[in-house]
Amino acid sequence: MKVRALFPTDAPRCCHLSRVVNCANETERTPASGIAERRDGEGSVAHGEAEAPQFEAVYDAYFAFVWRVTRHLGVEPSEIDDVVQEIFVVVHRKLGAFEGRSSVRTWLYAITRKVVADHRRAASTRARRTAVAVPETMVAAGRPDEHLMQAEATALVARILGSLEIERREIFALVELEQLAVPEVAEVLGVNVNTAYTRLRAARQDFEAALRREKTKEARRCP
Amino acid sequence: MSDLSPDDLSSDASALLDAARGGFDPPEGAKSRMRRGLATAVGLATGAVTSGAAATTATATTAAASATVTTVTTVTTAATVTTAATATTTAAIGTGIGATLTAKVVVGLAVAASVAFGTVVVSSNFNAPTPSVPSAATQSSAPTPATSLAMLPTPASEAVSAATVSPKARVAPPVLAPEPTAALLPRAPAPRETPSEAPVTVAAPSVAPSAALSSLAREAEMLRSALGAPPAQALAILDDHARQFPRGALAEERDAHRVVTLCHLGRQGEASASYTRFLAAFPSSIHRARLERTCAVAP
Repeated sequence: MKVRALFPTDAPRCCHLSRVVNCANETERTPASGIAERRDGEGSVAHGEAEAPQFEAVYDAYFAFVWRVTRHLGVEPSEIDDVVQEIFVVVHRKLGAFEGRSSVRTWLYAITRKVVADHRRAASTRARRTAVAVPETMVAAGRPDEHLMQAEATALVARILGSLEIERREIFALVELEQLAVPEVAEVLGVNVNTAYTRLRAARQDFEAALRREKTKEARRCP
Repeated sequence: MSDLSPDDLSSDASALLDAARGGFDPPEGAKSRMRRGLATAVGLATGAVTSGAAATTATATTAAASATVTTVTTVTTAATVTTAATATTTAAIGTGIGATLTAKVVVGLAVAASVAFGTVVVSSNFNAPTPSVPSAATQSSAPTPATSLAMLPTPASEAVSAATVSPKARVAPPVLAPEPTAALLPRAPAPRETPSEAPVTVAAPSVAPSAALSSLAREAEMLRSALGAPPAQALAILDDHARQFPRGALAEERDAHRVVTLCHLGRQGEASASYTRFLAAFPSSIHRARLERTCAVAP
């Protein structure tokens, strides 16, 4: 089957990085990749000034966001379900008290952070630097090539994120992956904006350095 | 670091992040699966099909349309879910966004249902999201933990077996019939014989609980779901896209993806034909290089 030839399963893993990065560079310019990344309407819950948004609407609009940030925060794949559920239980309980002082998103993130921290404490015997979960979607077979590419890119980013120190990983994921504004992130992290920028800068440098290391490693193995 | 301004990521890193971003999304079905868990935990109504589940159902219908196997079951599911969904969502949300959401979901599912039944089973609910529904909601969507069909919301999977036998009984829950068009309800099942022709309904995955999406957004949403679907299903979505947006802004992407998808299905002849048409339509397409590496171009 020709498809196999396109993605030889026995290709040395070590040679994938340049392909992913190069292809990512290439697809970046194509509208198709824009489609895959667009998240139309996600996270918008219209609600009146005074009244709290309804739980259903929040769940619906922000489920994916909560799921992703839980993962970015390093929760083990096998535990994401439990943690996300716990988060929404808390959301359900607290929604009535939501005053709309922050965006729903930052409010949710604050809850997520707290629940994940509790979870982490409870599981403190685990390694501190848990690798960021490699998404299940990675293993799906028979996907079109965009998806293989995306899966590889995601796995690589997850690996690098997992190597970052937790505070930096957090701000990096929120800004670079979730595309929140830095002031918004600063608010939810409870730091001032300058601190957030400083931290983000450091995180970016870490990320770049890790990416370079990955490239070097690959170059050594695949001359 | 010298080549890197501290405030910017390198183009490699940005490109990598762009490529990776979508891969962090929850797996398909996670949303409705967890909705069931939450139902137990906080009493969330499991039947309240909102966008995610609507997308799932619509996609399921798509699969049925192309695969022929489970048409009746799936579509029955869609219809049943809709009744529950309308009731519960209306009950739970009520105003503003809720109404929009309900409308959106119901419209989508109405189409899904009518695809198979040749009837507008649920449009009555859409038109009349009346406050009298809550009692119906509690009854019709009575959450029963589902064990099968992880992708579908509980009442749906619960209904599947019953509905397969006698869809009519399930589609027209007496409780649900809110005034005017109730007469339409019982007139349901006309099992389709040619599911492959069914206009696959992906209009609804439009996920956004916000106001109406622009057609571009709907196009993008469809293509995105095609990108995320297994090849057979993807092809059905692409077909549907072609029907809905023959000259859509994303026609080029759609047709390019069709070539790739056909290759994935091992349908090389069709892939080549598609590719030829694609080249004729978009001779200078940016996707050309990629397509040249597919089975559409004989080695």
